[in-house]
Amino acid sequence: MSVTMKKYIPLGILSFLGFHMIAGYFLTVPIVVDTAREVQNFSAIISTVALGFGPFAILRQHIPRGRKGNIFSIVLLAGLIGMPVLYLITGSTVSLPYDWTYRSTVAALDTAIYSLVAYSIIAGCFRAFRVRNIDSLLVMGAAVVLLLGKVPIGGAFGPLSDWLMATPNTAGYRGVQLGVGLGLFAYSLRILLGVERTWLAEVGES
Amino acid sequence: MSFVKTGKISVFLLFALCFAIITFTLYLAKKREKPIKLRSIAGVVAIEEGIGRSVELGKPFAVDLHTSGLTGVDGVVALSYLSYSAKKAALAGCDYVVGIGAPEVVPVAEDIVRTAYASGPKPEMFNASRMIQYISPVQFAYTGGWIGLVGREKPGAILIAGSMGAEAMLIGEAGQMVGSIQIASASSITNIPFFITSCDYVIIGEEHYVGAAVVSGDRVQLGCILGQDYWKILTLALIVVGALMATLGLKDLGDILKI
Amino acid sequence: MAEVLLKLDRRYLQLALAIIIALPFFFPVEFPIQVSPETKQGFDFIQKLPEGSVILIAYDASAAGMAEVHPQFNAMIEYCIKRHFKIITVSTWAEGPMLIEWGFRDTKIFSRLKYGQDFVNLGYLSGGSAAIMAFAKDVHALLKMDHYGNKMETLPMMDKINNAKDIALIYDVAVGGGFTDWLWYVQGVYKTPMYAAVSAWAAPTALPYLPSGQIVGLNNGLKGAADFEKLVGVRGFGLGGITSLSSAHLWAVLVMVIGNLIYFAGKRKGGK
Repeated sequence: MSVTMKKYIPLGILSFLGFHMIAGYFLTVPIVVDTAREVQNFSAIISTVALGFGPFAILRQHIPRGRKGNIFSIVLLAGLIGMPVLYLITGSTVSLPYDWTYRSTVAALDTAIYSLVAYSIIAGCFRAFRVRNIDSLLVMGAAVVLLLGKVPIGGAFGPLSDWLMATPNTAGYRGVQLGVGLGLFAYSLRILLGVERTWLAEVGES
Repeated sequence: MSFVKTGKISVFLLFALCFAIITFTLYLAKKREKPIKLRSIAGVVAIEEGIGRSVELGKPFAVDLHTSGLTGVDGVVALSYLSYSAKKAALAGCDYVVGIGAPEVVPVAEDIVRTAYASGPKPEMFNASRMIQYISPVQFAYTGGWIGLVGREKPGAILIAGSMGAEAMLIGEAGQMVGSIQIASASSITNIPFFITSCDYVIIGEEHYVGAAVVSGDRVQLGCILGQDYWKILTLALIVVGALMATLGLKDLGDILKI
Repeated sequence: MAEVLLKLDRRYLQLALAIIIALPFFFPVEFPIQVSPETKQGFDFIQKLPEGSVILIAYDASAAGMAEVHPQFNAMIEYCIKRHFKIITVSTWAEGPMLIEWGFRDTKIFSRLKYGQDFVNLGYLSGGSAAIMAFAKDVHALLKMDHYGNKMETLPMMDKINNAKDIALIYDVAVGGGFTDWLWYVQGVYKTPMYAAVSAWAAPTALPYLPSGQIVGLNNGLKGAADFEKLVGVRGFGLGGITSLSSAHLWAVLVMVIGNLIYFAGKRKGGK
């Protein structure tokens, strides 16, 4: 594949569409606004199509493993194929079999993994909140106030907890968010100008 | 009839100014003899240390691209870190594993890692089916898969480069439990406390994007950082002036910015 | 004591957490709840909305975050039914429509309201932020039918809804930062009032938008769900789970104290 096809054409498409979208946001020129809206609709379609790559990637990875007898790959493939088949048979996502399967498998497993976060937080509290100096004492103090202030038991800490969230937390958040916003803007500009080309699978010079 | 939409004229002018500053510094950086010097970011320096540790232990270096896809900037930034770490790992002859959640990233990541190892001293080390692990685009399904991967592989070091949600604590603890050095680079501010408690190095906020320019090794990208800093100074000046004016009861600046 | 602490395996602490969270479900204890100011502020806003207002409830969550946000969704449905608001439900997450159905079953909405006239379920909006932008600009251009396959022309309620300006409030039920898409691309552009009903993880991200007026209210996780249920006057998992939450928080504080005792015990032992 020539360099033009692999590099310059994708860059050209990206830059043109990117700046076109920016123009559509700011300008009142009807053709620019209308085409920018159409590009938005197309990008919604493309994002959806990208989801379709997922099953192929899973099949490519897990069929060989399933053939070797990996039980987890077999279960995964059964689920990947089984759920759409179930939908096609029942014709609806609100049907009892489909809903039951979703609740028993996806919802149950999802909730179970998320619940592990609580144990991780306890492990983090145990390990990380050690009072070594004044800074760590302040951090621990803030953690205690916030933990107790957000629940009925720690009613006395409520106003202090609300103040901590509303004032120092918001101030710190806004400061970091400002930096992130600027960084994001500059990075996006680098992509649009073709300076940043990692998405083309170009390996840098380091 | 106005060329620019009403209510967006000020923002358009500010955007144009920012664009001009950054483009100018890109041009300056290209013309300069020496690259622009930035302060070192500990997390970026630690990537090479982590690879060295992995080689010593005979363990892989793991990269978590998470579920960030190419539709968002964070996914593209993660690829910058992937590219850098893959190149360093290939040069060191280190084993390498990438966890991917977004399907469209799989071919790009595979290409990046393959190219990195192909230009390294041991191209035969590259093994797509082992190194490129597509897990799941679903948040907690990915997390479960990543915890399993880390538990099996026990990497010497982990680079957490993708954007993530509430599962950050789980991801961090998974690496903690196997004794890996962890370098977390995430722009999500909410996850900063979780990464600080569970990771050895954290690249916070704006450093995430600056680090991507640093690891690219491209002097033109470093020029962009300079432009970003100039623009930040202007923004801070605007904030200070605006805050003073608001304190004095003057709403003119706010009204100008709403034009 | 010091020896015991130094050898303590953190898994005992995690096991204790599991027991502490489970106990209140078997031995219920009620504590009086102080409603958070951010929830009260939001509730005051929606109380002023006139009858017949169109409320867009976006359910941007997966099953994982249901414990925190599903009670907020159910409570809002109940309140909309009570106040005779029109409801549009939509989701930008693939699992969202399943959870919306779950909520419809919990609240028995189909037997209480007329579908198509009082409420509509538009289902899954595929395409992330691009889809949200397109939806806000022109609903009918993006969606030709609802979640159940009914054409938009057959839904009387949708005749008067063309874009975000026809919506009185966006109530975004979100577990992650997904509410920022609605905030930036809909509230920021069309100034549609927005209420963030989020998980505790996302609340620090949402809170800065409250004093600036970009969101009218904020429900913070399970506590926010309990507050909202109390204000609306329903009893769901929010109020039911708040005692477990309190116990877990207390235990986390105790674990920090235990961790420090171990640290100081280790230092003393090392110093001897």
